[in-house]
Amino acid sequence: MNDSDLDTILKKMAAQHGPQLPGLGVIWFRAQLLRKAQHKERIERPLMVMRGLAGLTGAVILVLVVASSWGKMQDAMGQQGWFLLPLVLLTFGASLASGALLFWSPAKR
Amino acid sequence: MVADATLRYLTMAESPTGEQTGQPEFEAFYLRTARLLHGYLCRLSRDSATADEVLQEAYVRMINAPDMEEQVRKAYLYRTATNLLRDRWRKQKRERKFWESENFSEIIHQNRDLPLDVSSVFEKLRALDRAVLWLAHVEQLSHRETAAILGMKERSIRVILFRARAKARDLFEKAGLGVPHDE
Repeated sequence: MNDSDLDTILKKMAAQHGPQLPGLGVIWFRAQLLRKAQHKERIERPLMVMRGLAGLTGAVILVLVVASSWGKMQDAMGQQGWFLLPLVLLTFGASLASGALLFWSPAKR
Repeated sequence: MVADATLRYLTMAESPTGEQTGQPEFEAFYLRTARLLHGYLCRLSRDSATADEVLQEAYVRMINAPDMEEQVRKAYLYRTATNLLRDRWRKQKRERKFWESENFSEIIHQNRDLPLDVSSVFEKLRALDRAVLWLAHVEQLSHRETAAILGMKERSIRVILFRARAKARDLFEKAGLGVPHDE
């Protein structure tokens, strides 16, 4: 057997392959869905960046405020700890919830 | 020239127009190429269902890729399909070596219209050998184009193809599948 014979066998094998091919419409429809998803992601990308920046800025401001008034907070905690502790916890929880809302997109559900 | 265009596309992944494939154009291209691509994927994956899924995914990606010339698009399609199959093998951890999967199943022949003897002999070759032989003989691509599709060096393809031909000839001869010659 030479290369020409091999070529003939392989071509014959390929010619005899008659599969039930996936439908054209399904492939086109899937492609359109993917295109729309990619388009949406492209549009939302700047928004996500801005959200990230906003979240970071908020976190930095919070840390700076807490650090600058740490002494006063400690004094207040000493005098009225029962009142301030839940308030601090509530603020922390609200900050976390705001951060989560910042990145939560209803469209992604 | 076609090979140059193919390589240019595969390295740059951009077209001058940036437009995507239209539906009538896609339908015509699909009808021209799908059967052979399905055959290629069947030979490589040894599984008709996997070939169906990878074929669909490859065409979906091709539709959303920038518009390109026929030969370049075909090369893109084969490269995408080959890579999708490789990713699938990696995920399924079915390969021990880079290209070869271990579990050869005879059941898959039930899904094909091919004679069992020719295809089963062909499938005894390594997946890389099968891919190279298919691209060189059935699709009649050059070494350069085959290398671009498989993500390998042209020189390596030359050597692999030479060895794959020898192995295939040997296997077909042992199976008594030679082409009869007029004496």
